[in-house]
Amino acid sequence: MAPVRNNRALKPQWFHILLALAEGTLHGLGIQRAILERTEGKMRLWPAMLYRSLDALVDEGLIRTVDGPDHDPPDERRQYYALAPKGRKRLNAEVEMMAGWVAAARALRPDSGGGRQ
Amino acid sequence: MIPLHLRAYRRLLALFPRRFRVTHAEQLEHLFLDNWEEHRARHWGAKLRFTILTVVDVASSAAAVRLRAWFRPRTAPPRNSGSSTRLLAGTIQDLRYATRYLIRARGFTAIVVVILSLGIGANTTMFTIVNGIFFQTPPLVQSPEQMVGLSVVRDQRVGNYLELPDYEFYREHNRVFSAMLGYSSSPGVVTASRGNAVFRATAWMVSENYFGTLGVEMAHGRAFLPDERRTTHPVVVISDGLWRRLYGGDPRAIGRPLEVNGRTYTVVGVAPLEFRGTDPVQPMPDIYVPVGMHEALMPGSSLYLRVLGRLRPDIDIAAAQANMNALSPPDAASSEPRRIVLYSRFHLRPHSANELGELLTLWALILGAVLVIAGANVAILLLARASSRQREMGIRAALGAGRSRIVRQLLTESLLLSLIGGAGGLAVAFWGADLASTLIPLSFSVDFTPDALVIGFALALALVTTVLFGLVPAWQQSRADIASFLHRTDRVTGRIPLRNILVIAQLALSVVLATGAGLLVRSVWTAKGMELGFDPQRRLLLSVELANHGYVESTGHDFVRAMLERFPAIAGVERATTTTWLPFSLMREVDIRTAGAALADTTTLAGLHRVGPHYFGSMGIPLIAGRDFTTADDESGPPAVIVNETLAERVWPGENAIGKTVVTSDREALVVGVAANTLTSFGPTEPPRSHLYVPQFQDYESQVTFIVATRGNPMAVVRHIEQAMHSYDPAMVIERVRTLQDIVDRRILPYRLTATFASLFGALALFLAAVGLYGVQSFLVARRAREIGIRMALGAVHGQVARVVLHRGLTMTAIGIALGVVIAVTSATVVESMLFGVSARDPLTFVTVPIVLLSTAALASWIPAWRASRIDPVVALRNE
Repeated sequence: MAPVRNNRALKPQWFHILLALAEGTLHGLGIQRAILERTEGKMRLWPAMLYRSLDALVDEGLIRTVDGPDHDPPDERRQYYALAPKGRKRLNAEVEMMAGWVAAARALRPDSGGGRQ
Repeated sequence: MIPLHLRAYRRLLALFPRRFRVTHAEQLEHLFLDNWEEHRARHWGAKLRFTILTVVDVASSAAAVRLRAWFRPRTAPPRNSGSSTRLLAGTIQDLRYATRYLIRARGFTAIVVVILSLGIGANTTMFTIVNGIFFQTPPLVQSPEQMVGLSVVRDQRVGNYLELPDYEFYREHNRVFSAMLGYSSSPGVVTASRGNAVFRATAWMVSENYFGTLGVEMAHGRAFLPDERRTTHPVVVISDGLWRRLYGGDPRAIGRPLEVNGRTYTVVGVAPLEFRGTDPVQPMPDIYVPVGMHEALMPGSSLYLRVLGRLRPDIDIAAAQANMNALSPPDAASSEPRRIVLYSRFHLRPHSANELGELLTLWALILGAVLVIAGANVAILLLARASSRQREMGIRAALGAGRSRIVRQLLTESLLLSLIGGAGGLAVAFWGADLASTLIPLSFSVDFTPDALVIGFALALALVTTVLFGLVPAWQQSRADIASFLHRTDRVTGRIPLRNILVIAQLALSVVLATGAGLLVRSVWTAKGMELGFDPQRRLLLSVELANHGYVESTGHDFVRAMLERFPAIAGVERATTTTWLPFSLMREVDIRTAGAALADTTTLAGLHRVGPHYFGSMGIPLIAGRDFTTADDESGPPAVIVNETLAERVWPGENAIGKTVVTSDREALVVGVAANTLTSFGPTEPPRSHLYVPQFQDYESQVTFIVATRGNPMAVVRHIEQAMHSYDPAMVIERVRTLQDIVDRRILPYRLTATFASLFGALALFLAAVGLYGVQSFLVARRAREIGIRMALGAVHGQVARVVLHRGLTMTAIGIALGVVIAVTSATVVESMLFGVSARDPLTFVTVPIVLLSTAALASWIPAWRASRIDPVVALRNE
């Protein structure tokens, strides 16, 4: 059984979105690219999936919409997103939790280098 | 303009709830376009993957968003799990679980997806074609529902063309149309040149209000002006394609000169790229010339126009018809009484729509059968799969999953499968329609790109197929109780299991398909060996339109005469003649009266052909009596005609036709020869038609086709013939070059295509049926492993076990085949109209197909039987 209690693990795509936004405000394409790069091409958030996640994250209060930087051409009217304080907290908690898991696994099997559980 | 992929994506986005679209649609489109650009240059496999994943992405996300919105009131998002959140969590869990399951059972998923894609893809292709031909309105036409067509009834016969004065009359005097346009697909093929660049192009003559009435805006420049209605001022509008070819897409082309058939025009406008003219069965026009230029362009010929009117907003078609009935055009000398009939469909049904419709119906039937077989197959696979998962389901039930929960889970899997299958089908349809547009032997300018309607059709088909066939196993599954799940006891019920019925139905249907295919193939073989009545080999056909180049009757005759002298001098040419009619094309029919005939004072209808000297010798048509036309049958010679057997037999039964007199509307001539009948169509129902041959030099026609009999490859002499023509008239254009064999092949093409197509799907059906049988058999063997093990432990030998299993398979096959043969025999009339020279109950086909099917089925059930006989009793029993 996975150690899921009241504080459920974030969905992977939510986690990666929050992680991408931790570096600064981004628009949809930017988030998609950041995740693609960070996961070395393993996680590609398709447009609809991405925006429904963003929608849900805004709904949950983890991120918020912001105006784009001034240097963007005005006709491009892209929507930018930024991490909300609650989201930052949640992300930190998540990372701590994960670090805890990894540590626990390593303690159990020190030679496996954090292999699959 | 909005590109197709974006349009398609927008349609897809409609799946999202409104609230979501309002906030995110624009952003989604941006991102989609960015991703599209990335994939644009990739190979087709990557593009296909991208397309499928995009559809899946949007569809699944839309479902998720809708569920989220449904279960979660926007005002106060509940933190704690109410029953609705539990349902939501359940659904998401279902989806996740289904995805995981389908990925794990990769082989199974792949097979189901391939079967679904083929079945759905084939059907969607068909739908795309039908949609393209019958339901689409020409692009860019504003309020197409206001457009009505005018057809004219003369002497009980309906025609689609109005004479120019009639068009002018109705345009002036009607009180129901806000505007009325006319167009003519003549002059047809012309040469357009600019400097050294020379292109063949299709030219139409259109009324000056043509674009305005349709509501089509020019991409560059302007449309025609009102004062260009009766103009001799040479202006043209050109298509986007010609604009790019001639001027490299330079907007400064407006006002530049363009030479059409040696005459200089000024380009005033460029029509938009998407505009394809108003006639789905005509080649798309490249050059639009005002009707007023008619006299200058084609001197001496009369102009017929197709006419469309735009109804005033407050007028309906019945009122418009009443107004038209009240009008009667002034009588010209030659005109007969005539009236106008309005029809509301924008789409003008082509004269060949009947034949085409028949073909399409047959294809649709074949495809429908394939879809049913594919569906049955998927159901069999799902059923077999479900049985193998009974233990898993039992465990879930034991852990507290309710019956509805399990059904829902299985349905989710089916749904996911159908979505992937539907996307695959759509991809197949994109290529299928592309392929079809090149294969359909008509020069349609119809857009065969699948549109939103088609996408909807594919998805609906996918959903219906899988949900229908997925529901059954799900239901069956949930019916059994937990205990039986866990103990794997197979209680034999008294009824015939559903899967057996499916297998039998599949077998029966594939018999029907395969026999149909067999009959079609046989009839194409027959058609190839059919007596044409003329020799199609090594005959080159070259068509010219003399009126386009300023020829009138006397100069036209001179031209033809000169060519007939020059061509035989070319190396490789045996002889040359002319005709005005090509085999299998529409014939002009004339009323003829006969003097001194048995049918005195009655008229009969005959197809009229104007042909050159030595026509029958050059075409290889045998003469039964009399002589061929010679160069002496010209303007100064006595009027002569040659009749074919049927006409001679009809008018002078039992008599010698030579020397009899034939009277047509404008001439009276002596019969000098009787020619053998030639095939005018491939239809089996068509009786031989009456033909009347008239010397070309005695009855001028400006559209002339030279027939050149060659010694070797006919195409090898084309260049020399063109040179011979140009040495006489440098501006002359050969509009079309074909071989007679091409025409014959092309004529058989639809039948051959249908046969190929039917065989392909017949084979697919056979294969699917075999797979289904194999699946059921192996599944049964797997399930009865324990029983077989016990039997063998008790001393049954391998052969006995195999026999039992084989027996069951062959019984099902026999029932299926018997049923199929009965259906095939009774439904053979469907293909009857497509067959020639073969009976719809052809014994050879009806014996061969069951034998082939039986042997395939025997193999399909033998493999599992053989495997059953290899079961090791110890292993089988230990597995318990």
